[in-house]
Amino acid sequence: MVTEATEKEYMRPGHMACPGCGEATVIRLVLKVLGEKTIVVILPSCVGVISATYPHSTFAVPCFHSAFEIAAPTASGIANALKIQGREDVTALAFAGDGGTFDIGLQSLSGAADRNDNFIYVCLDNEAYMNTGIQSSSSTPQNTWTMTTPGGRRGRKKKFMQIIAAHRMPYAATASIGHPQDLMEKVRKAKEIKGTKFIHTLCPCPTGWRMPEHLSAVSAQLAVESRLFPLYEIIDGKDYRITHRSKGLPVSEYLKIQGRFRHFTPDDTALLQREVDEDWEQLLGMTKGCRG
Amino acid sequence: MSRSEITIQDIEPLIPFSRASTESFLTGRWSGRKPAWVEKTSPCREACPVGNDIARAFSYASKGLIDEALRVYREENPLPGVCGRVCYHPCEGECNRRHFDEAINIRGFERFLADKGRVAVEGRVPGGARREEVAVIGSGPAGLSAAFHLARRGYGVTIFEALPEPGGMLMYGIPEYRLPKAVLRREIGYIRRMGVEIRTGVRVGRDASLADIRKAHRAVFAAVGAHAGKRLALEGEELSCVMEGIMFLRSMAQGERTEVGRRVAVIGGGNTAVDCARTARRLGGEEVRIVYRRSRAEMPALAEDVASVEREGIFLDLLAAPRRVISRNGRVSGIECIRMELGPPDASGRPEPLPVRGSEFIVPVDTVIAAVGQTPEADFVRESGVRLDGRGMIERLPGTAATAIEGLFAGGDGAGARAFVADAIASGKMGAMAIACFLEGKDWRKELESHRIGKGPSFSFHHFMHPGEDRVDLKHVVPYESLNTTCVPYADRSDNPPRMRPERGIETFKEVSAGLSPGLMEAEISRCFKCGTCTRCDLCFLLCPDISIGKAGNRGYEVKVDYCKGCGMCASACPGQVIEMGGGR
Amino acid sequence: MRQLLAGNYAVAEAVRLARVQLVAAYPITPQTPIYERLSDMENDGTLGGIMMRTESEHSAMAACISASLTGVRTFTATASQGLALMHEMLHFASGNRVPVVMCNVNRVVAVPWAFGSDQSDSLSQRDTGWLQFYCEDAQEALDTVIQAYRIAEQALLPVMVAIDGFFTSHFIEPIEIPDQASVDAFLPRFAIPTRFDIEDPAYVSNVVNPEQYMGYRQRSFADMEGTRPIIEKANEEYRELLGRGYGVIEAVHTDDAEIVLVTSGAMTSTARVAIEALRAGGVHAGLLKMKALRPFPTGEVQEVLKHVPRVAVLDRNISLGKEGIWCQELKAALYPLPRRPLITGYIAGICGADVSPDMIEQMVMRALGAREAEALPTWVRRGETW
Repeated sequence: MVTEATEKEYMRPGHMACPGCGEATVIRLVLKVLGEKTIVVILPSCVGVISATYPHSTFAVPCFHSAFEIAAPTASGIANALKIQGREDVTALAFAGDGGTFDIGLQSLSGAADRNDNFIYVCLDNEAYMNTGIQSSSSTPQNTWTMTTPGGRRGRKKKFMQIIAAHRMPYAATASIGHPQDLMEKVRKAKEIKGTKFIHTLCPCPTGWRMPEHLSAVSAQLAVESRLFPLYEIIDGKDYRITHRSKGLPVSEYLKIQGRFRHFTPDDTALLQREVDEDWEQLLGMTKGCRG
Repeated sequence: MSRSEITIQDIEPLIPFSRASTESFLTGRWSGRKPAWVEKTSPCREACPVGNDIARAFSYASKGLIDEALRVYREENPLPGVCGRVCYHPCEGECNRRHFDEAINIRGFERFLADKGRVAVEGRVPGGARREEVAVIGSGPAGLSAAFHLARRGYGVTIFEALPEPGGMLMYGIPEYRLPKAVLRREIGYIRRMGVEIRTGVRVGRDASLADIRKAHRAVFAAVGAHAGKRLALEGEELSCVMEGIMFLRSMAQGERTEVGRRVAVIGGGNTAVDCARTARRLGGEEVRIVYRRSRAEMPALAEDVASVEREGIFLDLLAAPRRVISRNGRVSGIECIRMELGPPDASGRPEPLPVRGSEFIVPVDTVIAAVGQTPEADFVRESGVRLDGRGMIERLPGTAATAIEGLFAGGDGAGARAFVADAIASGKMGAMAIACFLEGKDWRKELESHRIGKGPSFSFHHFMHPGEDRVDLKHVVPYESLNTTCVPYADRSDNPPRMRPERGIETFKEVSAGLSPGLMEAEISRCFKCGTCTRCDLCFLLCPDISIGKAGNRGYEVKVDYCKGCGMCASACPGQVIEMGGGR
Repeated sequence: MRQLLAGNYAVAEAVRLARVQLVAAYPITPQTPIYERLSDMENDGTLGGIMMRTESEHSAMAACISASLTGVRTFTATASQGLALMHEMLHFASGNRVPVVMCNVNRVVAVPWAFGSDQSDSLSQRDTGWLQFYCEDAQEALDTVIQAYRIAEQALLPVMVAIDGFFTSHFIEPIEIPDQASVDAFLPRFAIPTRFDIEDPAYVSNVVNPEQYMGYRQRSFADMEGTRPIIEKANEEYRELLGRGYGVIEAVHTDDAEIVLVTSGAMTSTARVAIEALRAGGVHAGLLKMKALRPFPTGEVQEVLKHVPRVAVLDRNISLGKEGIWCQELKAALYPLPRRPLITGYIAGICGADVSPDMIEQMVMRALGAREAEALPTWVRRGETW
């Protein structure tokens, strides 16, 4: 199902994103679907810089620059206030990075999901703390170079969607800039549902991934097609639906265009490939018996 | 009791309230690189002798615009229903998809468009119509094509056809089971509706003179084809039941059923031979064989037609050549053949077949059909001063359709063009352009170069008609490596299925191959990369993080230079390689 | 209507009467009865608003702030560790100029772990830009919470109402619960425009440069100063409508005092008894109860103490490396006076350790006899000499 791409924009050009920024694309498309009745919560992060300093704004909708770890309860507060005011036609929307979601914001996101407060939470995952200069987060894949893991990160990337599923959110999904129609459709679906909705987007970062700017969207496509970042939905924490049948390109295709993986040995690549294959099989297993 | 009297104006100075748009920052200055949408040419189009804008047609079809897609084909080719059935599809040989999984069934697509699309017949240009009249001799694919394109350009065209019906080899040389006459008649009908007059039953040189025709028309295009079958030059050839293949097929086309015996030998390896064999099979031949002096790889017939031969129970006697026809009681009883072996290449570039001494053998047959090559019947051109070459073909000036005589042009099989339908159509197109240049005082070399597709030799008549349009870079052919195929799923190719089992097929002359079902056609259409064509997929528009790509109606997309940071994401992601990044750093 | 209520429940009644629309809270001893009572009220509809049960105090304050920005009246309550956890958000609320009201039930901050009344938790947040009021008893707590909304919504600054853990929160007193109509007359419905206006969208609180930041801080500073007349007016009107007023300080027997004891919170009740006893014994002792910490009632304090020769300050808190916080604040307020009292600082009742009237009498007498100012405060314990 394809969502009509309207020409109305709710993000204005002239913002401060690096050329090739995947986050900017996600923000733009999410706002495009949600429209003008949206209140946006953003954090100190790349978005905090992208959106420009006082007195400028890249947003054509109301926005609030909250604190690092509280995207979710900020959106919760807004959502509940809107409910009290009888303005439930307005969408509360939060953007948070992987740092603000996987790490410091995990607790408050968990609390908000527990309350099932009515907002959409979009995680802009560029796999490290990029705004402060490329430091590793629990979203950084194993063995990846960052400024704080110069020898490669020891930890493995958190399987965040499993955490999300455990919270029984009415709707959760993964999305990628390389598949914009799929992303927009998911935002549209999220808008129609009441409760806490989570969309995990992979946002390539040419600066932090040490990648040529022009490969930003292609890298997102490769992440999906290599099954490293499959596109799927989880309804009510138990109904898994794959929304795009990744064709299974070798993960090395994705790794080879990024400088942050340049030091990967064949063993590192093989390890990652194995993990990707196992996770894909597990995901397929989760979809068995589910509709759609 | 005072109520809260605070207004938003009271609040705004207390904390940062930003309303000014970031549009005041002209981030376009960060980089001189900017995208441009430049449509290019697909390798299939370059390979197509007719120069069909295949990728664009697929692009329209992918949106369900079948009529539009057909219109795109008919910008270059008046006979898509024919080509969609019998073309040797060089396009598929160059299809970029073959590097990904399998080439697209482009021929099946052309047939689908012709069968399902509706034609809006383009008539002569009203008002500013040209007054000049052009004559075309021969209504085969070359002649029909020339007439079609000349009529589009506004010329009055009259076709002189010797046989009772137009179509040339298409009508009289390709049997019904491969090309239903209804399809051909329909497409010829469209050409007639454009105002082209076809006079049948007029053989130039007998019923009309070339000189008279030349007087009445400003230019003449001779596209007489090659309908005279070569003789076998064998002992016993004069017997009845030894037939010439072209005549055999022509009789069948005219509805005159020719008797063949139970055992038939067809001599030759081209499509004529194959069609004779398959026709003989349908007429009751139980043991039908094709005798060909080279091996399968050298057979000029299309591979899929050779495969049909075997499916229909016809024996391929390869590396064999006939020596003499054996008779008994005045009737054919067998042929004596000799085994051949392949030697070094001969003048044609193919391995020379050499007889193996002492390997003679006799095959019992009661019918022999010779299909060993065709020559034109073009003697009539000599009176105007045009020469015929060693093979009997009308001589032309190199690289053009013009003959040595001003105003007299030639093309198709009769002038030595490659003996495939598509090449004949291309030849007719070339003739039309040459004549148009001649009559309009244009430099045909320059025109050809300007409208040439890729390396050539095909060119775009549409581009010739609308040079100002400049919508496609005809010279830039999109290589596979430049396409972004990351997201494209693997999918099997859909071939046109047979309509019936071969055992049933040989009982009838009904068309053997069926068109693709709508579902399979749709799947096949989505497999096409549409190389070089902007399909308005919106991917670049949606991807741009700087909201710097706008929709520009018919022109597709345009860049907002004030904001575009030149990252090039759009160019790299474009599945058709339409976007070029230009400018400095 | 008169009712026997513990302080926590009195606060809950105030929240109901103030027509709070959104409560976000997290349980911590000794605040929990407030949270629970409000939950009951939400459940039976008497609260009239939404309860958000957050997963931490930090998130509770975050939600209150954003809900307040969106345009509803909010409330939270906490204590001790919870308040400490909220620290970042306290700055956030003040900087965002939201009229959030919070009740802090004073409790000692770990480590060591203990659960007694102690003002270290709220006093150590005095620099976060909140107004702070300290209550002596449950009635004052109820009245102050209601007043807090009026003040907060006029000043557009957040207000913290502190009550002693256990001594006020859990002790039962007879409380006068005002009727809704009277409270409505005093406190209008929340009418501050939303800062998230779809029709006129703005980006609220994005990054500013140093000069701009300084400007905003200076404006907040000026507005905090500007709360003084607002507080005074609110206090007067409340007194008119509902019969009770507390001022920013309360001076008892200070006109002829040779020594004035300065206290705050529940301990003030004990101090009143001690001062009466001293006076009965011929000592010219007076009492100064501190209600407001921020804005600090400098002028009022100077006025009361300018002719008083000696002052004893009782702090139920300690700031390591200096002295009790009330003592610090007082000394700074009195510094400009041409004649400054001799100030003696006492640290007593930390973590709710017992402070009896006779201990207070002793403190006063000792301060009366002091010949010179002491560099460090004296730690006071029952059964010990000091």
